[in-house]
Amino acid sequence: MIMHGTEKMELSPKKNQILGKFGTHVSRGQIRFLSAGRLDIFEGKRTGVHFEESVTGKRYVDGFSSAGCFNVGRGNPEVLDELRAAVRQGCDMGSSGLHSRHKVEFAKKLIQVCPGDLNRVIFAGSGADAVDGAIKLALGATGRTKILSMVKAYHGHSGFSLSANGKDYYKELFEPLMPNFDFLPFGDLEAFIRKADRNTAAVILEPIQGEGGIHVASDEYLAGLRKHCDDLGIQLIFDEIQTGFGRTGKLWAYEHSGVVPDIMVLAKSIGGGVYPNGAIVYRDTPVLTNFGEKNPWFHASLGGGSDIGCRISSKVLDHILENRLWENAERMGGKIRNGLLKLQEQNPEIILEVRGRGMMLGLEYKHDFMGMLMAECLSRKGMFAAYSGNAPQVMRFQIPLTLSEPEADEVISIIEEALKIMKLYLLLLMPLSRLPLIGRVLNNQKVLISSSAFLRKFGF
Amino acid sequence: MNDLASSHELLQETQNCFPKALISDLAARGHDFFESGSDGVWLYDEKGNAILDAHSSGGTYNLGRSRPELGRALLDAAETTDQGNFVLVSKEKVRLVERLARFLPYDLSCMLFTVVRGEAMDAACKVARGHTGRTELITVDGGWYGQTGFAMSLSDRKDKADFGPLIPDVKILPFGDGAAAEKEVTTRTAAVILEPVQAENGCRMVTREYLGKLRRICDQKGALLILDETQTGFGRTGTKFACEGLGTSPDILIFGEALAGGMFPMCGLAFPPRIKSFFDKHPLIHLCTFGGHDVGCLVADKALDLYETLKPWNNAQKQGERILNGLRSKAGEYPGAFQSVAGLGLLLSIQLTSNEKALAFCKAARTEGLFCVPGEVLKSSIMIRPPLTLTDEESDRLVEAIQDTLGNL
Repeated sequence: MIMHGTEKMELSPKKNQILGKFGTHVSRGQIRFLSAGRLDIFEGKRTGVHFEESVTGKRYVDGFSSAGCFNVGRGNPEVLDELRAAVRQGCDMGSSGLHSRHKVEFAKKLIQVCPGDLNRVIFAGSGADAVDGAIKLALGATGRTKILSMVKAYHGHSGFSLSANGKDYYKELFEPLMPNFDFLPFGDLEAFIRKADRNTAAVILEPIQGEGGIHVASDEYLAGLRKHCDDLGIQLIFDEIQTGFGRTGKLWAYEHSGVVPDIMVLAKSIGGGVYPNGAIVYRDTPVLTNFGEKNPWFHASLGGGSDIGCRISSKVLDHILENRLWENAERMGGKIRNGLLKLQEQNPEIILEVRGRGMMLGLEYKHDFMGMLMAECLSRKGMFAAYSGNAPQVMRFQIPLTLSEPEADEVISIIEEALKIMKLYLLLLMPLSRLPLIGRVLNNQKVLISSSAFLRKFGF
Repeated sequence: MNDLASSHELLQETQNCFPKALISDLAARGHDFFESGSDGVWLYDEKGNAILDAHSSGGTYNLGRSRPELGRALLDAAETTDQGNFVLVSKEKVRLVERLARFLPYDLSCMLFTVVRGEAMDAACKVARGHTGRTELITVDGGWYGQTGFAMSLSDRKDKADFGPLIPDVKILPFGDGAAAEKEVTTRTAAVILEPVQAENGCRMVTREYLGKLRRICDQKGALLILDETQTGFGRTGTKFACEGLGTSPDILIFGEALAGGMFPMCGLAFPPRIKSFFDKHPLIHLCTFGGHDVGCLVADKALDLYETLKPWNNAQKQGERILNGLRSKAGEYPGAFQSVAGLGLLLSIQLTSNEKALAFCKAARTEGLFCVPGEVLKSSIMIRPPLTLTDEESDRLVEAIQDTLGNL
């Protein structure tokens, strides 16, 4: 790889000490993984769409937003003011099992901006907790036992959410998981029709698959699912954990198609980047409402719907609504998308496709190994971006929605510069990748991580 | 969007967003009020009435309600950091893991953080399966571990069947039965999972001998011993962690929200380096976006300061005995309602004669200025689980409120 004299400074003893401790107490493998993509960095000061690396002071654009948690921007002043007010007024998490003004006010705000009769709320502590609750709701309410999910789906790592995960890496060491979970190719309505029956409790999907590599469900597909779900009494669950709160150019991704789910799952940006929260919102239909009435405590989360959490979530929603943040997502997302399309034209040997909606964009490379290399090139040029966990050949861009016009220009120029470095790598790697054995090795993530991490040790 | 004006209006809105049964259930327990503040061992309703918090939100508030030091730590943390990108290493995370490794007993120096306790149990079961390459999970009856998939599959929960077939290869043994464990735990068992004190089940406690025996069986068969200390940890039972008092080291210890003292939702699991090797080999295999949140790490760090300074386990032991003595001194006076009281430190449970009596107790207690809830497993029991900062006077007030409530039943 390429020598970069000044960046060797980063390997200060202090930094290695911190990484070493993380390796001792959490995972050495994670450091290897991060180091391979030049992502063994620490976030220092975090403002808007940027953070400063705390050892070198180098400025990064946050191209990942912790998978879409920072929609209102990092260190949002209004959100911080609300946190200050909450603490000043003596708030804590509150008591699970008691109502409070903060909990009710947030629930009320939330259902006001949710479609139609989606007006029943259950709080959860995290996305996974919310997905588990949503699946329990569907199973319990319908009395059926089958759940349909999607290939490459990502819903979390807890018992039910992992069972609905469409990637083997996350599951295979922990099986057997929940029985009767089946997987469909995303976007294939015929496959759904073949598998769905009157023992199917729910079909769960992300309107745009995030981890799976930014795949957008077509309006027709969603409308088709809705129709067949209605016919068969199947609950349609939209996981809007990544797509919600303005990310895709609408407040909720379902608005693009107008297809209303029975159950919607929310987390990530609900917490404004400072405080965990999550929610399940469901329709006031006889089957769901009756179950909720019979089992009002069926998913009582201690950490979800806390007093502080609900105050923060209320403020996040206010901020998004007052600033119509989804419109900026649409505008700036369009600008970046155009920039990426132009780069695709200029780099057809690297970029296969540009996908996504609003500011949930994906860049698919021609080869699997390019994801990690590009993460490394972007990091060099001052942008943190993650390649998809469920699809390493896809770079996900989920920048905070507060991105300004000049910042969007900065993003495009960083990606352009990163592609230039990428081309240098490829001068070496492309001829090699055509050799069958080496090509296979290059596209093996494990091998690539360990060899890159090894080279990084010596300053490459 | 204006703030909701009166509590009447608030109640209306509550009915518009949540199941109506939730509100009637709360009313049946006397909990149909709006929590409007808290400090120390007290919470306040919307009229400003002080109510002694004997629920501690499931064992979250070991350091007392709305602890000002933790509030300041939360604000300071939010000024300098935020949740961070979850895949990255951060100084905040490293600071907490290093600190917590010193605080936790035995060789439990490695960890993974989650938001809810159920997910911590789910992660523990996964690690057990992944680490041992075995699939069977064994627990005991009467347990309660949380709401997520694995946690619920292991819990003694009456409505479990409503959610269809759950995690396969789970076996539930009779609690306290060493011979059954001897027979059933085999070389295909990944883990044996239990709570040192079954808080939701009348505070049924493991004995030193039983736990020691499980430890030996697990060692012989190569299974992991997982202890859920979400309720018993951080001083509640009179020692930092119940497993210390019981003299048994688990392979995985699950800790609950008490970690951050109720100022931030954070739970997790701790294990020795030999088990962490699983995460060395399989990085990023259990992700939790809000787990190991940088703000949460700094709040938890401050909470550990407080735990180390206050050593609230000493007070938990003292006040627990004071309450037990107080209640036992008049135990014979309420024959129609009261049966017994059990527990350790400030994790106590009052056994009443029926489920109905337990609900009636909660409702009557509310008028005596006491907030408490029935057990999730043993619904005829009432949990008494106040913050560990309880003073002598507050203990006496608690005993008095319980006695007056029993007298009124």
